[in-house]
Amino acid sequence: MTAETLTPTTQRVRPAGQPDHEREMRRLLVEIIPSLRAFARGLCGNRDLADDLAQEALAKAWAARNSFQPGTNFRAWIFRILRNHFYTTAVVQKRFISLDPEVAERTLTSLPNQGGELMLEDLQRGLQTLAAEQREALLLMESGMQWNEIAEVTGVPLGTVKSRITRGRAALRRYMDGTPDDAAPAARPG
Amino acid sequence: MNDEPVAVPAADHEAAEPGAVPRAPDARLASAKDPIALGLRRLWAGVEQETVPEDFFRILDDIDARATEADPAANRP
Repeated sequence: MTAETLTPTTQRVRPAGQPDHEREMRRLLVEIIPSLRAFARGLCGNRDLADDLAQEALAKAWAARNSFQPGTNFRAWIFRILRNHFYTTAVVQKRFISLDPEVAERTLTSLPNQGGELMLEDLQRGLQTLAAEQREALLLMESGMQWNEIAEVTGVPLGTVKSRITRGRAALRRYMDGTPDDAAPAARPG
Repeated sequence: MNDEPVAVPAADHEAAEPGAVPRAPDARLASAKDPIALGLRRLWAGVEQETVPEDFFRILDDIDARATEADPAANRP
């Protein structure tokens, strides 16, 4: 594989300052929009707020495009921008820890999955009950990221990533089994 | 605590990036069989498959336009 080959996890752009740099960066940003939306939706649990978050992250990434180091992991770079913005904004405005209105309504009228087929709505609700650092680790892992990439995005050691995934999965399973965890959602990873 | 990645059989990471750190076998196995993991992937894939709102495609042009307005010299030869 050459340095110019693009892959979902490690995408290259030519060095900043070269004529094609901005065009390539723009293309990478456009390509990753669906994944940015998915990550934001998982973090926020609300479609409109998630799209706001993804757009803000896109704007930040575009504004900071010259700071991206060619040869490093583009996907991890922009996901880190998004999650950092999520936490900064969540702390300041406390606006992201809320469910989609439709999901919230169902939350009031239904219980978690009780032995039937796993319902995605239940799962979405369950995600929002997790500590934020567990939620993001689970999301990133099931998006196809490797542990070391998740560590790069979240800025914690590999062992911490593994721990968060294990605990998050266990908490989500308890929720889906109808035995919710006592832990409240956290706006900021500890 | 041992944070080093665990080697996995070739079949488990044949599509992985060269040099990438593979997931440990237990994590991959758990993910492959875990309905929660499968559900999370469906949630993620469902969003990815949605039509992207036009706002996203306009935002880069808008940013560039604002940057040009703020610094007209930036586009001079």
